Amino acid sequence: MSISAEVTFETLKRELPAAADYAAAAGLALDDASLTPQNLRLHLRLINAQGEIFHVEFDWADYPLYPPTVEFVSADHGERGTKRLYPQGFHPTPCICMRYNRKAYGERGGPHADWRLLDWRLPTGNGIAIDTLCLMISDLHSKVRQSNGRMT
Amino acid sequence: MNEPQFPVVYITDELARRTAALLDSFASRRPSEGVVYWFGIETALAAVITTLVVPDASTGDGAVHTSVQTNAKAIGVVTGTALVYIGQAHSHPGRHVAHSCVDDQETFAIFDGALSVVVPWFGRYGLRIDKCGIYRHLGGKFCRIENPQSHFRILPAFADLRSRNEETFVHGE
Repeated sequence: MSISAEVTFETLKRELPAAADYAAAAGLALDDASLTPQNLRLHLRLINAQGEIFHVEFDWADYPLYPPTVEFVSADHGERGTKRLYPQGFHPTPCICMRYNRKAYGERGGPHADWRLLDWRLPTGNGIAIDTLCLMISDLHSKVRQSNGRMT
Repeated sequence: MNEPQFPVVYITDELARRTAALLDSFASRRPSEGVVYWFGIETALAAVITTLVVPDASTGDGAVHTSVQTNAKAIGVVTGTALVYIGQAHSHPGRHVAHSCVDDQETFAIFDGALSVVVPWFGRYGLRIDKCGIYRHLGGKFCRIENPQSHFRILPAFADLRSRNEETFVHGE
C-alpha cells in the first residue's frame, strides 16, 4: 500500500508553517525550497553542543501512512547514513532510533523488530506521540544540542 | 535532631502521563521548558495528587517564569476546596534533571515538604521516576532525593482484571 505523492505533499504543506515557526524560534535552518510532489525531501541543519553542524534529511514518501525516513546526510546531501555524519548519542548502527523514523523498524532493516510500521504514531514509553514534522524537529534538536562530537 | 517526616506523595500513572504531556505542550512552538502545579489531598501519611494546574507562565526565553498574579490564579482553582498545593513538575530540554539555582530560588510555593520534580526531554518521553530529578524542600532548602520511593510514587489509575481479556493491564511503577 502506498500514498500518492500529491497527498503526502498536501499533508506536509499543512504541517510546514508550524515546523517553520519552530525552526525559526530555535534558530534552525529548515530547507523546504525543493519540496514538490516529485521530490518529497526536506533538510534540516542542526548544531551540537560544540558548535558542529549536522544535516538531517527527511524523505516523506508514503507519509502519513508511514513515517518518513530520517537520516543524517552530508552538507551536499551526497553522502548519507555513515557514522561520521551522526552526532554522538544515536543508535550505533547508525540510526535515529525513534518511531518517527522508518529506518528504525526491523521490517526495514532497522534495530526495532518489536515495532510495527503501522503503529508509528504510538508514543514512546508513557510520553507523547511524535507524529508531526514540528515535533520531529523539536526532538532531533533536543538530542543534537545535548550531544558532543561525532559517532566516529 | 531528626528531619520532620513528610507524607509520601502519590500520583496515578494517568496523571503522571498527563503531566508529561502538558509539560511537552510548552515546547510545541519553540524549545521551552514547562511547568505543571500539583494539587491534592494531604494527610499525615500520604499526599495524593488529584489536580493538575498549568499556570499561564511566560516562556519567551525558553525558561518558565510565573508572576504573582499568575500564581494567584493557579491557587484560585482550588480555593474553597479541600485541595492543597503539593508540589510541581517542570521540564528540562535534555537529560539533565538537576535543579538550577533559579529552580531552587524561584520555584513557586517554597515550604518544607514541597515536592519538585524535574522531567527530562521536555516531558516528551513521559514521567519516569528513575529518569527524573526528585527534589523535596527539607530543612529550608530543596534537596535531591536519593530514595524517591520514600517521597514520590506512581500508582495505577485502574486495573482491568477481567479474565476474558487476553492481557491484564496494571499500570504504575
